[in-house]
Amino acid sequence: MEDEKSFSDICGGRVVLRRRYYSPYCREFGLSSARLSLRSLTAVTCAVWLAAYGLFTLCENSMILSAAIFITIIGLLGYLHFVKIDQETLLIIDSLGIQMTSSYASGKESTTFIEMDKVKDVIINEAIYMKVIYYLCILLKDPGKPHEISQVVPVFQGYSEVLQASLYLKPWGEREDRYPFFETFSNLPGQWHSIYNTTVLLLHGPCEHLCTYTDTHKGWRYSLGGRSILSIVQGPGLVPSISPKLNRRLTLLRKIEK
Amino acid sequence: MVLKAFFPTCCASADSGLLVGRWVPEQNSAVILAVVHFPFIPIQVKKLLAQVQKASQVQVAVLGTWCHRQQEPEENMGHFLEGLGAIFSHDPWLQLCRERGTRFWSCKATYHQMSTNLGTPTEDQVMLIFYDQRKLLLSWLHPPAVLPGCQDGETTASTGGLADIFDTVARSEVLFQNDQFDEGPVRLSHWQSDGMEASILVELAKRASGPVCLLLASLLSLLSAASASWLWKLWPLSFIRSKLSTCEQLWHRLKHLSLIFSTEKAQNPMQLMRKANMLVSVLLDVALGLLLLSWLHSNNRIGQLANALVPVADRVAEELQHLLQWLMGAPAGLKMNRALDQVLGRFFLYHIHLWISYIHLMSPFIEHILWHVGLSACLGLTVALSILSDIIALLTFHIYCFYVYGARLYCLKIYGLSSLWRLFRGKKWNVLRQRVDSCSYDLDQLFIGTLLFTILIFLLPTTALYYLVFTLLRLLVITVQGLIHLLVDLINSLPLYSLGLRLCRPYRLAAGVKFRVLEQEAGRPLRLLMQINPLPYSHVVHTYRLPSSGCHPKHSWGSLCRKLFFGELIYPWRQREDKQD
Repeated sequence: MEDEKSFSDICGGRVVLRRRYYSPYCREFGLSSARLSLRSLTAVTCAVWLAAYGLFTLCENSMILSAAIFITIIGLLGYLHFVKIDQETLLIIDSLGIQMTSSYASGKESTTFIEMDKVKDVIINEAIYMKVIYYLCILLKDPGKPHEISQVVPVFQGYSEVLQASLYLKPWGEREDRYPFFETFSNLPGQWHSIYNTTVLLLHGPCEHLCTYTDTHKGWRYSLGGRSILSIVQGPGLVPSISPKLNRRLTLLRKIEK
Repeated sequence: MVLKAFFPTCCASADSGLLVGRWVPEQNSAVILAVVHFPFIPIQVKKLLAQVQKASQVQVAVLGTWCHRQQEPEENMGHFLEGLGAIFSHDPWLQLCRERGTRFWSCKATYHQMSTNLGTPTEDQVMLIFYDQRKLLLSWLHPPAVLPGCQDGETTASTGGLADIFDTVARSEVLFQNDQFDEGPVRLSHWQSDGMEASILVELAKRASGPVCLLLASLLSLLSAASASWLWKLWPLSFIRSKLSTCEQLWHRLKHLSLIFSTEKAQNPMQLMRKANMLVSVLLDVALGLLLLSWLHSNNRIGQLANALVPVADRVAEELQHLLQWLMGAPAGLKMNRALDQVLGRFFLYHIHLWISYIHLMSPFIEHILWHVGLSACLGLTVALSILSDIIALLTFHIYCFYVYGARLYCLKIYGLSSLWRLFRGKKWNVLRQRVDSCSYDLDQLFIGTLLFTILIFLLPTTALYYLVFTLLRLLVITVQGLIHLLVDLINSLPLYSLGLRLCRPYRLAAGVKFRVLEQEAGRPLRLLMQINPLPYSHVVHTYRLPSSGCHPKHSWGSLCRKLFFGELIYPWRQREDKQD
């Protein structure tokens, strides 16, 4: 069973979410974005070559032109191979694990597989950036210590810019059934009952402030969409007390000690 | 939980028979290792399994039946197979079947024991996961699952699910020694069924390696004993040895070689990789060294180098003399103290004169020395580079001397100034309390102190300028030497064998696994393909880096600047005597 839904991102580009249902215990979610646009490629190439030509007229050294060509080619290859993510897939197999694949524009695929013993929960994180944004992430635990959280892994890393904008446009208080993206995750089998129960307070790097009423002791730092994010995980029950204040965009906060 | 059946891809085309493998109850998964074909005698199958279990500590058992209907015309095989469930009782009993006319398989797993109150056996959903047995056998997982208290004699506790599966397949090598084409009582089908893998060269090398290793190990131990003897601890030799980086590099290589050719076998894959990395590194080193040697000795390059060396040294000395003349005048428009300037300048000029005479004295012998030193390149490129670094150090010895003189003078001046500055303000350094205390001085003490203070302060720019110039020269030489050491370090510590393995046989170094969902039909069990996810190159380098004997500068930038400001001598290449391996 397969279905597709399109969303739009900040720049107006189209992002397609594809769901495949292989069996009651195996589902796949894929996010694919628009390909490299010819317009932007032409613009960048022209800019680099114009600059090179300008330098050439100043210096009269033809090595500059060859160097510009090299730089353009190598830069394009590097961008396609290391930066531009075409598609990201999340494959969830019950009792085996979760697999996240990113496939780049040059065809390279990088896969991470997390075993089910290590997964503690899948939660929705919210971040206070210029506005409140949300994204999905997986909490990992150490099999030896099941009550502690060892790591936080965001899902769909290459798309965090995208997801932050369009899919989570509702204010905090009305979030229950208004997030079409999360609805796709809500009816996963078995263990994902706690998707809406636990939420996480997330703060962005430069404005590292903290709500005064949280007393968490531990935070995880990771990067999402190129930004470094510090995240603190709280249990359920704290959420309602946070939300009204978050909505009013707190600015007076205390610094976190990690 | 869904029952997971790990099935080897090599058995997908095998004839019908019994499935043999290991059942892991904690994860509800069955790892199938081989297929036993008809005809067989159940007693002998059980005997073989008991033998394998004893030899490999893996709980192999008969897990179920495998039916390949595409190859057999008769349909009554199915009933026969079901009857086998009574002979080899295992809970749950798997029945895998590959049917005719379709690519999809049918799987059934029946539990007999758990359904006592129901009366009928319960079935469970099965998920098929295909794996490549050969690749799984040969690969090892990073990070290796550290099992607490696991020795060879104990059974392993179940660790993470995947590490367990890798472990099971790796330890069941005993099972793979018999084949369906062998004459034994039991015919098995597994990854070796396509043909036993062996190579004559590898076998010969293995046979020959024993005596060769013994011989080389004894030679190397003689060498190590000679180099560790008490003669080297005597004063001049130990001093020279600590200063020359060539000796350090030779010692390092000797240690590597003795480790490679030691007669004890590697205990675990890490040690094996380390040995292999060291061997490849030494071989590459020697190959590059021989290349350099052949290049040097062709076209009379040594002669050209020797002929060029003396004029270069002369040129350097001349430039230094020009520099000193410049400093003795009015350098960069600064006004120097004429008397001190002349004294220092003449002092250093005399040194340069001595140095030039020394070089000219040595010039007839340089070609011979270079020729013999060039021969040492056959020991390795790293040794040649270390010798080059030492030659640079020796040739720029006068710069080092100037730096030391300038630094000492400057240092004395700075300390004098700081102490007299305290006197100027009426304070004193209390050595007992390690702090500055006020102190009442006599008038004559104050008078002389102030006089000295002003003298020192007016002489400060001259000394500071000389110090600055020579420190910059010394730093330049240190930078060149540092680059050479960096290159030597790189050759020493890069794990080339591991990188080559990652390039050519990526399944050997596994960071994990990845799954791919195969084509599927509704109502049929889910089929997945499990492949090995190789370790990224950065992790390979990080994990298998060889420990280097490099003398890294131990100062941070802040402490370096502080030392330079106060005129303390900097020794960037302290040899570390207590380096642990």
